[in-house]
Amino acid sequence: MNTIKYKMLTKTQLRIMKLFVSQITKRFSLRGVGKELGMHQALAYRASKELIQKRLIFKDADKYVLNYKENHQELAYFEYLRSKVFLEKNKTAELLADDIIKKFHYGYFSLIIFGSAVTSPKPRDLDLLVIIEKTDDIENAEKHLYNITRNFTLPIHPIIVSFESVEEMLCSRDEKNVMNEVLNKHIILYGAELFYRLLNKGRR
Amino acid sequence: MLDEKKLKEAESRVKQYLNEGLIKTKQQKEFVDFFLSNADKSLNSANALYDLSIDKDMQTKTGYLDFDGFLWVVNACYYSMFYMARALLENEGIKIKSDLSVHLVTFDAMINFFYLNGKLQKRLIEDFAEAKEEAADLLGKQKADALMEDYFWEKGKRSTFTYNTKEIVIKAKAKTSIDRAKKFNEEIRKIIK
Repeated sequence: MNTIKYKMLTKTQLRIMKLFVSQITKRFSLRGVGKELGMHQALAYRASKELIQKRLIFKDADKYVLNYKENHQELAYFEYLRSKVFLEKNKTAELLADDIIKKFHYGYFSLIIFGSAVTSPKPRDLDLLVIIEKTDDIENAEKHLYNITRNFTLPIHPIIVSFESVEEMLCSRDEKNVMNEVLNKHIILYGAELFYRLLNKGRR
Repeated sequence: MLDEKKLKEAESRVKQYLNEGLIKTKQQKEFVDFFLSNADKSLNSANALYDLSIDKDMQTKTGYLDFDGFLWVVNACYYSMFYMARALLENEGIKIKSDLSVHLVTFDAMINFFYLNGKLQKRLIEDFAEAKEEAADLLGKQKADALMEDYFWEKGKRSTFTYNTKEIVIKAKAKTSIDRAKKFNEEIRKIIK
């Protein structure tokens, strides 16, 4: 077992990883990372070195990008940290997530907030993406989800897609579709490991 | 607005309930999840009854032709708010020991323990943390007023239907009840969370 790999990340490294997972396909220079997070460039370089060693990020041309092909448990943890911050500021979304996770009947799924709510401090509505396994279940799952989301005062716009559609959408890298939009603007409320697994499969 | 006289009456009744042991404070909280679950089920029942009352296809499929459940939508919405109020009281260790007039005692307890002392307002202000302090105070107060008014009206609405209340009026009232229950439940859940 590689001992470096399982050493805890520092706060700075966690901040950097949260940035990388927030924009999955974006390429960052290390200088850009420092600038975006308001940290000294030298600190960003030093902290990133270990992230590269752990293969959490890798060099692509002259910039760095998230390695979404492995370390899915770690990536899920970084997503969890992001969602925690988001939910602390957005109690309605927290209640909604609780309800969906508790009541939704369609197997293992991913629950993702995307669109303007990800960055808005007081969103007027919520775009919700739910990824479920079977295409045949979509119609019934939509009705079921509607009956959960209708009990909230905030307008909620849910979209349900199947694993199959997710892979299709991810394959069309240059197409404007919900999955490609989600990659760089999302909060994963549930099922982050599944999300990264599907991403890996779709972008193979 | 909830009038001063009614608020004072509720306050004085609560003193009496406390003396008689109908309300007990500083108790262990035990049934929060039970009341939350009942509130949720009641609101879902209201939604289901409302849908079946307006959807002819659903009526045909289920055999409930000309189904009209609007009256019970109103009842279920009120019950949803009542259970949510019980959950909030339970969460603060306040127990209602009365079987008789439990609805009145619960409403009075909400007025006394959460509204008159500004506790509800204070909790709701947190929602407006990003707003300026004064505006947040005002918004929190308005929201607390509105929530308690909604609860008050829904409590009374159940008994206000008369024999000649028109169907269209009942339908509109049912929709308002659902909206009020949704808002009330969401805000109280945020406080309990």
